[in-house]
Amino acid sequence: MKGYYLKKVLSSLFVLFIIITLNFFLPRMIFSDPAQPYYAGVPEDALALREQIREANGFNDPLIVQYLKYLGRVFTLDFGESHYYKDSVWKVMFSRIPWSMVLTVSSMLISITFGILYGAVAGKRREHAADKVLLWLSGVTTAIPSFWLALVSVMLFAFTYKIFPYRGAMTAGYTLSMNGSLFLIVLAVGVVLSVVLKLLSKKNLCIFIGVPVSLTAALFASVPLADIVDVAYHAALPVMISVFSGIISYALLVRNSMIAVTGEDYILTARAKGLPAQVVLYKHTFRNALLPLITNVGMSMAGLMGGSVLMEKIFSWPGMGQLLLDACNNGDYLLSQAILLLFAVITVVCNFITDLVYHKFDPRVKEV
Amino acid sequence: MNVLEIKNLKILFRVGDDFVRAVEGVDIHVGEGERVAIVGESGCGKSVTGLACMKLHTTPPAYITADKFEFVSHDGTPHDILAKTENEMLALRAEEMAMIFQDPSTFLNPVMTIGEQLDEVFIYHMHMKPKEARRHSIEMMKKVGIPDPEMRAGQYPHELSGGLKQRILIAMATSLSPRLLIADEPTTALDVTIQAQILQLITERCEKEKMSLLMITHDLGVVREMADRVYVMYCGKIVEEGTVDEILTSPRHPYTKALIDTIPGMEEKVDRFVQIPHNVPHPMNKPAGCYFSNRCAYCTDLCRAKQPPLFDRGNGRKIRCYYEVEELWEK
Amino acid sequence: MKKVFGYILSALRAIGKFLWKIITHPKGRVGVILVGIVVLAAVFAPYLTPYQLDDYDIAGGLAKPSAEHLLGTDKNGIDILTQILYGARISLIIGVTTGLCVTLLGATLGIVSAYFGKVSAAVILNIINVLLVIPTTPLMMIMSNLSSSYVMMIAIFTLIGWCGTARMVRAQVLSIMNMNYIRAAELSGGSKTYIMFRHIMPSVSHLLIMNCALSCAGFMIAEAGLSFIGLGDPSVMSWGKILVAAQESAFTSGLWAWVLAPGVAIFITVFGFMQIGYALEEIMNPRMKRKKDVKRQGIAPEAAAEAVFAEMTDISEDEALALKQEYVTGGRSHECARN
Repeated sequence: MKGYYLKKVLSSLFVLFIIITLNFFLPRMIFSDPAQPYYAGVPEDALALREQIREANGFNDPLIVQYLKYLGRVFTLDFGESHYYKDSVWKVMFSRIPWSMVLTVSSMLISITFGILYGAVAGKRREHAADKVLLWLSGVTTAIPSFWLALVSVMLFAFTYKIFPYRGAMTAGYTLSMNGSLFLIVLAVGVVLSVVLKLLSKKNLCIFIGVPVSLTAALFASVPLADIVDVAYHAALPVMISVFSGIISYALLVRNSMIAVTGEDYILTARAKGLPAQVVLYKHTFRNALLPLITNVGMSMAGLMGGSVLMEKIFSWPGMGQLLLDACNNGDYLLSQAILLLFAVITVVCNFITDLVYHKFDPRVKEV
Repeated sequence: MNVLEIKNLKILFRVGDDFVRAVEGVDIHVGEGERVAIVGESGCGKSVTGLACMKLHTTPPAYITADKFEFVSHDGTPHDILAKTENEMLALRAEEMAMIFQDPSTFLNPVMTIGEQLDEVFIYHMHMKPKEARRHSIEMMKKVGIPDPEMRAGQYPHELSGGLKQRILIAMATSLSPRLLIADEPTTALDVTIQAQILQLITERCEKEKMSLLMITHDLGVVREMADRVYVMYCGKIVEEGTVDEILTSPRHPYTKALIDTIPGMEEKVDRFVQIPHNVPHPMNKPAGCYFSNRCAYCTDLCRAKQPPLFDRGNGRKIRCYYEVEELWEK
Repeated sequence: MKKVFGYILSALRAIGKFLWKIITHPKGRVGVILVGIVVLAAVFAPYLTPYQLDDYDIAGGLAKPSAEHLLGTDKNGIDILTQILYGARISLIIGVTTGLCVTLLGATLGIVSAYFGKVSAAVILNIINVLLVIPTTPLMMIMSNLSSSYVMMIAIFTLIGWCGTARMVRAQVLSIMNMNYIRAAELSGGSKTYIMFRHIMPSVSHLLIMNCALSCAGFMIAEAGLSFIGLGDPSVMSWGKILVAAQESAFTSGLWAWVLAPGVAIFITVFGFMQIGYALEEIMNPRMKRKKDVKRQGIAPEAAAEAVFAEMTDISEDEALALKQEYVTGGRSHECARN
């Protein structure tokens, strides 16, 4: 068990090392002069001044020295300043992460909830119309690019019928007037309350429900209601489109694994024990059928902060995907380096969490 | 008095637009405290019959009919199994009839602890609180000879050996002392040394709880140990019925005789193993006439023309063959 | 020379047989027809439309669909249908080339990792593990800055996309190697390479052909997406790029055909490839064979079951005895069949 995790940690570190190395070499392959972004405002013929800038930023050092210096900066979490936004890379990124999460977290929660429900219904009764519709939909939606679906719905709902806005996350700008300290206070109170409740009742459910509830409460307490409504109004269309394909893919996963588990021998044992059909379904079939879902959700969790580039581009949503796209187009490589590294770290961490959670639910893996 | 009485049971499975004829008119009865065995090669419909007694088949794909399908519970009321709804069956399963399955490693839920799976029986049938149920579970585990039951209750199935898992399944099936215990090849997946222990345990449990036993097996050795009366099944039909001594010492159907001859003897050394030629016919492709005709050493044109009925030869002896034993041995 | 000719002939015959199987399969037929239409459109694009991709006509820009321009025109007055026909070329080239490259690379590495020693397996599996964790879309966005040509896009797709195929092939090879017939071949002295080509390749190749069709479909969608966010070659027309232009101007002018047409084109192509893939899966996996439904033949399964139940009735003992008497005395042959 310990050996398994040690191996996992080592391979994760190896992945991060490769990403850091790529981060270092890619800009030096893309730009003929990697110091290009530093020359802002310096005329092309001011060679002496340019040389001075190169020297000052260490671009004249041997490559290996530059590489080691870059490694040092990564380990001290110093990503420098974005040339385009003229601000610290950290600040730029953190102004965008919440926006990506608004879209991805809400659409993922809705997709998982309804996907499981739909999949359970379809898997329980295979001859049922719900099952046939699901199979048909999944056959068709995999052949339709989701961004085209988004374009069509924008044209339909935002332009032809003008029900939803077509761009941005808020009517003006993308800065929420948020009372940070109030948010933290409410959140802390909520979390402490749910932990106390858990200790009193000894039910994990208290944590699972308590934390999200206190998070929502903190949001509603610290942000003006009008702003929340405004954001929800802007997010409605992109969320609906992601949810559409999300529900179908989760439902198909749950359906297939429900059918596989229903044929297992231990379901027969459970029925022979004389357990009511509902108990067989929820305690035996469902619990085993949801195992593949854990891996799947874990994988897509990594995309939570990354957001969806296509959706963000179509709706001009100020998220991380859009930020990375702009950084690539502007040659703002210090920013894109940091974003890529952040994504890699998130992916590695999410993989780790998925493994832990999976082990908790499926005791058989412990022997790996 | 009969605990279970089945007359003319027929079971079909729908596969595409065709039907597999799994069981074709079987009469079985199990008396109170009696130990009955159904013997046959794999695919002859014996397990399907066992599952039908508990009404564990779902329709579709299974279609079941019978002239009589009666089970008498502890309090003496007869139940028509075929007419019962799934909800009505719940009260009968585990309390009145229970089943032990073939492969203990796949018949236990891998993500629930042994204790949780045993508790369920007490929680849903006796309406016990979890703690009380666990006390009963541990008591049951002691009864089936599991060492250190408190520790085992917290373990998962993959942490137990095959023999222990089978003991757990026996504990689960016998915990409410049902009237009828159906054992579907309970020793097939186990080591030879464990097999004897498990059979011993089943016998003990049956005697102590005064349960009737319906043993489904392909092993004639198991039959000799465990049964009073035997049904020999072939291709979904019963071909011979009689007491265990009669069947094993003087078989009267060519199939039964062939089956007994295939057992390698311990005493004499043989040059060749005795085999029954060919394989069991595919259930979609059974021969015309007698189903055993293509493998039978004594087969005649009559056998190939028409399926013989189950002749009643008196004293509870029934044989599905046109010929008396003397006629056969003459050939 | 004659031998080579014979090989080619038998290979052609095998391919023909295979194509016939796909065409006679209901899903395969749909797929072949859809893909066929797109391929014909791509090949004969210059003959199917009187316009060129550089026929600027600013005055006739943003035209609604008409007899001259079946799907209307864009901002610069270029015919949308022409753009779609030429766009089919890039979509097919990228999809099929990438699908083939990914399948080839994945199959080679998958087989090598499963069959040739522990060292190669360890190296390849570690590379796969790294590739699975690397966030692919952002990496692709950054790497496409290296060069915007479509060769680059195919290279990046291949470099990142092979690991799925490799894992599948590896699993399949490992499971085949555990089969008894491979053990038998090893015991009877077959060399490793012989077993590889004679026994393992045939059972993997089916899987590969199917996987290739499905990954072609997948990469076509990916290509459209990347072109849409502006990472494609600016000098070549592609469906993703038509949609970018449409997002800029079609919405406000209500030109529905401009938005719908590229999507429908993508759907037809991808759906066609997927149907071919599913058809191959069903042809090669006999367990998945489609069965006709009883209900469709007009008989309820319950009634059909009743009819089968009725067939099962035994004759009575008296009837049987009479029958036996007839055989014994009635002169009908009553011989023992065997011995």
